[in-house]
Amino acid sequence: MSFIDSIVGFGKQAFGFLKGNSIGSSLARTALLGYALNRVSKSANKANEAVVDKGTTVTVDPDTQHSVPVLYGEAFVQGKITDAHLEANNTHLWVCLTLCEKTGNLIDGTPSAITFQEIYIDNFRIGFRDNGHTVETIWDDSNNSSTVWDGLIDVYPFNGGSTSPAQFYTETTGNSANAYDLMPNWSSTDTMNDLVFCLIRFKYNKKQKLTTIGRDIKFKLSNSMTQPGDVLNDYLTNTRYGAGIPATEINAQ
Amino acid sequence: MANLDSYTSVKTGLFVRLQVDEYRTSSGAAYSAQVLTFSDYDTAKTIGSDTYTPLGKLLNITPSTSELRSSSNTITVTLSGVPTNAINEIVHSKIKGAPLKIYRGYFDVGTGAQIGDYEGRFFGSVNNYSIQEEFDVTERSAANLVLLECNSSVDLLSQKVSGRKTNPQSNNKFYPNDTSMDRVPTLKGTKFDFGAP
Repeated sequence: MSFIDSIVGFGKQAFGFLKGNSIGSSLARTALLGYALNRVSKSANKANEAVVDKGTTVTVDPDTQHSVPVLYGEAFVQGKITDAHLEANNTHLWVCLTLCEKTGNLIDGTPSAITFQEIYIDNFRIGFRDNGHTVETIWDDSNNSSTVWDGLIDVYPFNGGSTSPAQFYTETTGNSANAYDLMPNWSSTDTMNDLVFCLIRFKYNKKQKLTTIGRDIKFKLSNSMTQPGDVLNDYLTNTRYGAGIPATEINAQ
Repeated sequence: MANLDSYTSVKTGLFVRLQVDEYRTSSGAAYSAQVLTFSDYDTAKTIGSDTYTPLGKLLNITPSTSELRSSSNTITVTLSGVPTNAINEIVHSKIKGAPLKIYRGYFDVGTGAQIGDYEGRFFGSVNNYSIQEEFDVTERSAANLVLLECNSSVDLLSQKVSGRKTNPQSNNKFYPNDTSMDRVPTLKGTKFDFGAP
């Protein structure tokens, strides 16, 4: 008789024991049943855990040495993130993108005006709902449209400070609230004086792959100051970003 | 530009306007703004609302070059015969950095009448100054030379850096009460658990 026969004999004895009517057999059966249930329960929980979305860790890239640009004419600008805030429910993330300086007056005294032409997020051109600030449609380079981000992003442009809400020129309406009333962590001292900037609110949505703030956000801006004489005069006289030469020393015509 | 075509000879005068924002006459005196106006002409002249004191030969201004294109230029303004008791005013005032303008005027030799308008010759600011003492042993008296070294505005502009950076210090230079850039330094490296349950 080999040791293999011994193992088979032990198995038969154990099975016979479990089939028996003794108290020991009953306890063993109960223990086995409990163990089996435990395994089934663990397996079910594991399946549930697999569908729980743990979100995305987002880090922003502000730059304390970034020079705020001066924009004349028309240009695409990316801006720099100068603030970010995650709402308490973790589903809405706000960012503030500082784009450029607000420029001065034309030589004839007319204030220059910077308008928001377009916004691109990850190379998709953005279109808005009727309210002028909630994203509805996106277009790719081939002009194929999609509504996958419908209602998930809000864009609030400002032109010259927190109390100067603007709108995209393609829209008939837009936001009218002050920036510090929108951005949750701002107060009335967050004035963003003489800056052109934009607040963007992203709503987390894993299904639509909106789990971060976008790798590439671009704005197409247009400044009504386009004439070389106006530009030179503004750049010479501006005390904030220009040479600061007194206007009385320039014979502007 | 004055038209000198019909003149065989003219005389010129240089008129210096030095604006000292923090001027005082002694070390303990309070600062006040003072505009010093003087010329190397022989009579007092008024440009705008400023009357220029005639110093004649006591004022010397080094030549400057005239170029079609704006270029950096340095000149020295020398004031002679400054009495010793007036040196305090130079030493205790903040002359360095004071804006300086020099105008040129043309005058008829015979009548002394002005020809054309005063023209700007040099616009800049005082970069440095020095004092040289001339002591007369026999007379037992001293007079001083004050030399003002001036850089032109072009030179100053080439060194000027302006504009705003996205940090609170830079922003607060222009808008001290604006707190919107205050969070930029701490924002770097902050992690946001976007979408976390």
